Amino acid sequence: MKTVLIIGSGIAGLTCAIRSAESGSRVILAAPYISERAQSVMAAGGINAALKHVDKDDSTALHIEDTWRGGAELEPMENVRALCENAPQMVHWLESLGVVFSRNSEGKIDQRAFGGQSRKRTCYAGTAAGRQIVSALVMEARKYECSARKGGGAGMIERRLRIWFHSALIRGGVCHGAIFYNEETQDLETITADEVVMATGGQNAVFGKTTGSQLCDGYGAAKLFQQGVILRNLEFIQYHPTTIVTAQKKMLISEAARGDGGRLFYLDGGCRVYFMEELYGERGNLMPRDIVSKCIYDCPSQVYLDISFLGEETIDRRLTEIRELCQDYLGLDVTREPIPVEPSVHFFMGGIAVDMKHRTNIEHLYAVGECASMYHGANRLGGNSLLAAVYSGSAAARAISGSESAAHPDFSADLAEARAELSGREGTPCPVPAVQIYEEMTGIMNSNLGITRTENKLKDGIERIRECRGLCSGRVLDESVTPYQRYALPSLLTLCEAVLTAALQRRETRGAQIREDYPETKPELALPTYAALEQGTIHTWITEKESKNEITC
Amino acid sequence: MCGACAMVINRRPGLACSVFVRDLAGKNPGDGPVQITLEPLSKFPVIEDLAVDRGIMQEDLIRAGDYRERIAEPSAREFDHQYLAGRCLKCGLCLEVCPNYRSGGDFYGAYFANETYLVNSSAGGGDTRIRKEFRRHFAAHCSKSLSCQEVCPMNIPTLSSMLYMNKNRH
Repeated sequence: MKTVLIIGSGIAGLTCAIRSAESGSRVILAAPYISERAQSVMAAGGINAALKHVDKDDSTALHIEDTWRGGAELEPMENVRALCENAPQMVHWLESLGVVFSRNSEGKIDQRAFGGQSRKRTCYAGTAAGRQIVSALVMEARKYECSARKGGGAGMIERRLRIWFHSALIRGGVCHGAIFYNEETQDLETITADEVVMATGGQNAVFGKTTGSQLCDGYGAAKLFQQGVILRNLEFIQYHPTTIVTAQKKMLISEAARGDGGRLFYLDGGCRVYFMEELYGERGNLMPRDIVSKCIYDCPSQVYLDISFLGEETIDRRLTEIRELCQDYLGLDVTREPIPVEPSVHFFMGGIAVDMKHRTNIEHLYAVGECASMYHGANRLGGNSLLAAVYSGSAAARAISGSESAAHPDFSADLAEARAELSGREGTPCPVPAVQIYEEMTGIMNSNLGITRTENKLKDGIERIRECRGLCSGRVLDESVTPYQRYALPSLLTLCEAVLTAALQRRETRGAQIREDYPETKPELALPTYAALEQGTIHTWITEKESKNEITC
Repeated sequence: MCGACAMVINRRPGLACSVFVRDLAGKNPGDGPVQITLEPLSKFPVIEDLAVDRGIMQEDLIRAGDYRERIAEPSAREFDHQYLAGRCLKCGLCLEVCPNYRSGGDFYGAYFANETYLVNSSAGGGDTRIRKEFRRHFAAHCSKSLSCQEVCPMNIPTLSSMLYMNKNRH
């Protein structure tokens, strides 16, 4: 029986686990916490598929076009096509697993308007689509977890909790498993597998507070980058236009609020200026996120989102969680007052480079969900990330079921080396507390890689990130952070440099990459950026396919 | 909201991220400094400081075999209830306040009632195996203080789940 190690148990990881177990594999689902803590549960909006339940003239062709154009025409068309053509099947699969989608008057899955989409296409579950999908997938996965406890048979899932990814076991361009830090034993351990799937989410923690989970810190991609995995489109980081910011958190006000009619405005001498409608007409509030965020950024004063005129009944029925969130965290009643909003880092279009089967450039190593870079080009449309999570998990599982297993070499020397490094018994102590370097890193990423970018800011950012890395690389970090954070920090700093370098290299404005010094979009640059680490140096290149490592699409 | 930060704040269990110092502080300017006591949830083993190991919740669901053997056509009358039950964070607050729950016992607590409701209702209500597990690990022990419903940060109607599971459905 084939053993599949899946790292990360959000929607992409769970989907891949269930699909792999369905086809008879033994799945090890590894994550520090249960699926209910995954960032997936924060996804509010919904999942796109041209089901034509509301707008009868919708079609897969329109979904493809909206996704490709919304992504600033960067993503290769065949990738977008694969995602959108399979979308109805993905939604039907979720429905068959009992996901509680909101229904229309005919009892069919309802669909709402979302940003950058020409039709009402987003299937939703109140304003908690992610949580409802996780709930159903967890129940389905449990069937295979119970099967594993009973002694197995074909298809089973074993969950490993409280373990943190450390590094992949790679030998000769082939992946054989991974090393983890076990919180309970406070030691490293190896898990070998025939196939390894990364499902570790985006890179939130390098920006500090974002709308996402701090557990998604980008370390998976960062470490693999150091181990020879190629990354892609790192410069494209989505700012969600409407978030609320409190002392502790940045929280999402779902695009559903604008999909259902919510209006953005700022005050000019006491008068409301509905700037998005003035700039883009009736559908202005629902422009793609890169455009809305930039417009809010350019506003002269605080921007508000008004949904009060929708009425209490509609808000309670369709936007439940938004009302609760504003009440709990701002003490604000959205049925009476507008919500003060601002853009915040929300989604990473960049990540691990994969082909259409979600294979990386390392054999038997896959990447799915937000940690992979696929489908969204330079800007993701709302409702396409849940779709990509489910679709990529399924696509990887399908590819895995057909591939051959490999024999595993002995990795005990690798484990011993990693243990020696982690123990910190040898080596020079870092002169600065690790927590301070973390703060410096997030400060640099926010100030030098904000909504708008310039060459000077990016170069300054690279220099300062290198200084941080110089402080901690090869040094023993103090206990102001967890053991995991201690070994993660130098790799995260390398990832930060790669992101800044990719943003520096792309001398144009496209989607989420807004260069003040290069405001034009250049048609010849409608291609992905790839990044590789070779002998300690970061190389980035913009090309049609990442050909030098033979990834074929 | 993810449920990770459940703890006991001034002797009241809650999610730390949505409890505000301003609500704990004295109302008048002259009230002076206010002492705030933070404690880990008492019903689970402490990992470190305020972090507890809630693994028993997953363990009990697996032990009871809380999964669907079949999934029926969705029933419109259950949508709202299923939606609310599906919001469970597995934060453990319902177990913390429950006078009947102790970790490792036969009684699995309120979240378990909701999880069995989700399984049974999506199977159309006639899953006798799961109803038996509900009786064994919930109904036989619950004294209906309903403190679980009061403390739930997601406002899950556990009483409705209990009613559904107790009804003789086929």
